[in-house]
Amino acid sequence: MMRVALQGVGLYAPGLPNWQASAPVLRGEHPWRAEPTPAVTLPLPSAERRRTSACARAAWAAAAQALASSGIDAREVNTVFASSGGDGVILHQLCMALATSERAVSPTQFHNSVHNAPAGYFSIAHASHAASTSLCHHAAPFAAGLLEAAVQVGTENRPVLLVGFDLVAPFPLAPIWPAQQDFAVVLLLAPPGQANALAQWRIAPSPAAPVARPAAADWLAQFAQANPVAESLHLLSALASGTPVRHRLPYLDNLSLEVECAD
Amino acid sequence: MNPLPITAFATASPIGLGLDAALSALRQGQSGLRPNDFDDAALPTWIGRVDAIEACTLPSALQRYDCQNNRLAHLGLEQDGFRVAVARARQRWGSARIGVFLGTTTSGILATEQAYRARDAAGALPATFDYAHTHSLYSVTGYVRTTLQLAGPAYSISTACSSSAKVFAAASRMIAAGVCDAAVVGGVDSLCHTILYGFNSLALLSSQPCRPWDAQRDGLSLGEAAGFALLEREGESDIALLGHGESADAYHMSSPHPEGAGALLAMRAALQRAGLTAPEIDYVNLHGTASPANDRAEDRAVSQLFGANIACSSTKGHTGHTLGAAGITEAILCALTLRSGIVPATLHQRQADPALQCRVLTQAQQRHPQRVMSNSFGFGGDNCALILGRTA
Repeated sequence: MMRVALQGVGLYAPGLPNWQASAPVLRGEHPWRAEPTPAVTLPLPSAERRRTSACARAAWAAAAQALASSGIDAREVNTVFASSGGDGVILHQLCMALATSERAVSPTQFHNSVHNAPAGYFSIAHASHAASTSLCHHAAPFAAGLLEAAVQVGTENRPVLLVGFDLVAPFPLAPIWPAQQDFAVVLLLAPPGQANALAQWRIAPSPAAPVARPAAADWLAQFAQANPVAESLHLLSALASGTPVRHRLPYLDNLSLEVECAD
Repeated sequence: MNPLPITAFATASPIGLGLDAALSALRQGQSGLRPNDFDDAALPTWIGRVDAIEACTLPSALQRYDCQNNRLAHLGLEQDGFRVAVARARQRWGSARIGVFLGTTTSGILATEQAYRARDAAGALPATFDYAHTHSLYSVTGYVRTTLQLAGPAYSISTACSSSAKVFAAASRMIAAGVCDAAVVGGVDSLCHTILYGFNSLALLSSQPCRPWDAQRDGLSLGEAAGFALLEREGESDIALLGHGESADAYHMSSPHPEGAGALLAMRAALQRAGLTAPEIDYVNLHGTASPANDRAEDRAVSQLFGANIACSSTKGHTGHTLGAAGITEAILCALTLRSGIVPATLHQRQADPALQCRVLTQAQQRHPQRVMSNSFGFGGDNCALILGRTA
């Protein structure tokens, strides 16, 4: 069982442009509207900036919010990037190129195709040498990432930035792709006891079945269905409403991830 | 950290199936590389293949996982009594207390490449194509967790060529945090068009067997491999994980920092975690891909930390660069080095690069190291160094 303090939240999804604007939507005070996400630019030299992928930009946007609101320096945090499929746009472009007789693969697309490309751009833009990992789990990347981040907070005794992201893919990948809706979420977790924390959580894997949640708003339930990382919206919804978090997130067969308020 | 016992290994790589075959190749300086004959990929380069994949079949109950990469995983698990060791650990700790953390860069992407070639007139993928089980980055971990009947936490790590070194760090933390009592770690990557044509687009493929630290080195040879290790909180073992260190270059997506600054940070972090100083390391298994820039950067970092006289070598000339399986494959070769006392050679070198400081071994030697470091560095600037040692 790990204890963590939640120090910052970031969101980047249609109709959920950041945590501040999204909290009233999650509380039901404002309706959710399918508004496009704002454009994002990474602070990189122009040649590098042009090469960034949509996944790297979405991850960056959500991470920047969580870091800014916490006041913690990006170079002081370990990062855990978690995603189901990684970059479906680049996968599509590579597979299309490889299905031609020329097989002319773009070198930029190839180096952007590594699953840790968003982590690479993040470390370059922040000049951060801190340890970073990029993990994947097909159905439950958010639970897998949250467990890893909490374990790192506990064992490394330093803040950890959890960056969850999955974006839609083009046809013909689209119908079988895990993300049918773009979504990125960031939680900045720190060792427990921080005075300015948004919440204190206990996190542990559990053999008990995931908990059936109280009925969420239709839009939220649909979002969580349409993107594996958007499972996090159930946690964020409780956080926005000020109701104590007590969730068992779906993770693996016979294993869920328990997240409980510790204050 | 306290030394973490590694109680079993299994390997399938271009230098053979099982630990005995790999050790024999190290002893004899045998390379598993050959001219590229992968599918219809007409690129003039050398590759390392695991031929037995072709004849390998998955258990009938797990057919939905069937793809080249999971067959390679299956073949790896069949080696060296690994399944028996895992069954014993399951008895001891309970299946829910054993995690599975595997590295891969492309997992079963070959299945998606084939599906794209088989699109119908409307451009749709074949209806039989199962992305989740045959390609997704998690599919190999899902397959291994299922076939080994494990029920603990699991995920894949995909940080390019450091992936299956970082799984040791992940498992070590999971055990330290009390989330697991044991973990199966490893890595599996199989040859595919994406990596062959991708590395070719970056002009990083050698037209000959790769020559790490050679004055005329001109790039890497790709390979495929599966490797596994079993880490346990307590257990009888002659080999232990002593330390791990991770860092980010924060420099460039596909070129290393020219002075190896990130590599140096990872190696220092591993030493610090192990409570060791540089002179206490007897051998370094280099990342040593034989790309001009990578070897130069690693040479700067290693010579700065250890001096130019440390025994070191790159085993990429034996196995090729197995990408997401490189970390585990080289950790296993390090374990064989600790067990046998044989320090492997750097193969294919014709003329040492006078611009590099480290004098890599060009002949296998009997040296009996007690503590060794293994380096793995990936695209995106992700670095990982492991320290393994003899327990007795």
